[in-house]
Amino acid sequence: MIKKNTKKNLIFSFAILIIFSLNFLGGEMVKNCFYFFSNPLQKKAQQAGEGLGNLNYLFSTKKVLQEKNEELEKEKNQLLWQQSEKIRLEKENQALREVLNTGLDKEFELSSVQIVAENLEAGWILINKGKEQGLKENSAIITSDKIFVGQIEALYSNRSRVRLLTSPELSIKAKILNDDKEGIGVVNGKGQKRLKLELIPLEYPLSPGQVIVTSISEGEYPSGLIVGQIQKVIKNNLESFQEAILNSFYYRPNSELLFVILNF
Amino acid sequence: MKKKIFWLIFIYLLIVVQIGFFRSFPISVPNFALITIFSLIVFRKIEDRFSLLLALWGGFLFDIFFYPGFGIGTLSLPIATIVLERSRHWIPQNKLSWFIAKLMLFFAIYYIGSNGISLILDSFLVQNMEIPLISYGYSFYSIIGSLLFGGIIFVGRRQWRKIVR
Repeated sequence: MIKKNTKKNLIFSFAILIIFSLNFLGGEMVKNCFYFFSNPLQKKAQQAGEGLGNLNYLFSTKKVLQEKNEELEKEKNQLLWQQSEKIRLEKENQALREVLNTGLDKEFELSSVQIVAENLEAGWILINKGKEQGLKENSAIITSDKIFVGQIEALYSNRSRVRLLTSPELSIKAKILNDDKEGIGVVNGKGQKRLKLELIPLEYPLSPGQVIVTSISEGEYPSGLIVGQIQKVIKNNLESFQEAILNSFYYRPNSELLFVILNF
Repeated sequence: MKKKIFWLIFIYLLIVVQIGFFRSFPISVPNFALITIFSLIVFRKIEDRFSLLLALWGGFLFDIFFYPGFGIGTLSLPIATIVLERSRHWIPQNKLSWFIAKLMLFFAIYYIGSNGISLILDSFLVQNMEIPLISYGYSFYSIIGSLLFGGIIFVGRRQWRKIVR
């Protein structure tokens, strides 16, 4: 009995060791395989979830249940699928039109991507393109209106994990849009919707409402991408720097289309 | 054996459906897979080693779908399971209040374990392994939702057993 237990414990420990070693070898491949196989079901669940979020689905489902007609239920569901697909495509088209109107496509080389999974509390999203589509690590992700969303943190064959700007693990160089004087600081994510601007000299005139954009970085992202707006300034005369709480323009990604900057 | 394989596949499907279905919901939802794993462990016989395998599988899937690398869920979920198994001797399980207490204990150990392990792994791995203090399924709403969902499972099971008898 003891021998049997020891054997089982050994197998269990060995399994943990193998899983842990995936951090060093083959982990990306394993994750990619799971994402690949889960994708069809995940997409269907997502569409059903979006339909439920849209109250029309509730009402239509109720109606169908009242009528107790299986055929009608199928037809209605199909229509809802088509409707949600149409809404999604309309959103995509709108985003692409915005890109064309603002000339963003002339300014940067872009690749449009969609969110396939997200964990906003942990500060990341998963997008539907990866290495095979030419994406690179640390590339910036933006919205059609030039709002900085985050940076690619990990690349898989057909997926990429994006670290959101609001995540505490990401900090970027940023500048304050001001006609008189240029101020440069660092923006740090503070989780949820919060951002903090730090390392701004005490004498710099910070005020609520000022817009913060990205500053020149070492080739990771272009300058001038919108980061947030100052909500509150925190000054302490005993310290040589001041800070500001920012309102992020981008928080809940939902199903909108995003863009990866491939070249700028 | 077939039942065990069914539960392993069920947990996988539950996670996939959860991350897809609740993606567009405005508030964070409970981690249904975690509660299901908990319920399966609590309602099984103590000798059965399947609970540990289930926790290992669940943890591995959490690592794939919720965490940046491998090891956080794989280690913390079996640890929480082992503590849960040990607690059978000193926490009765025939009352709803004790069931909820166990669920909270399980969550607390998993939560502390996953955060602690992420910090440890983060300190010696190149890739970023740190997870924020309020990580997946641990916001206020999701904890309340989890306790409610757990309660429903407990009461539902009791009613079902009454009907079967």
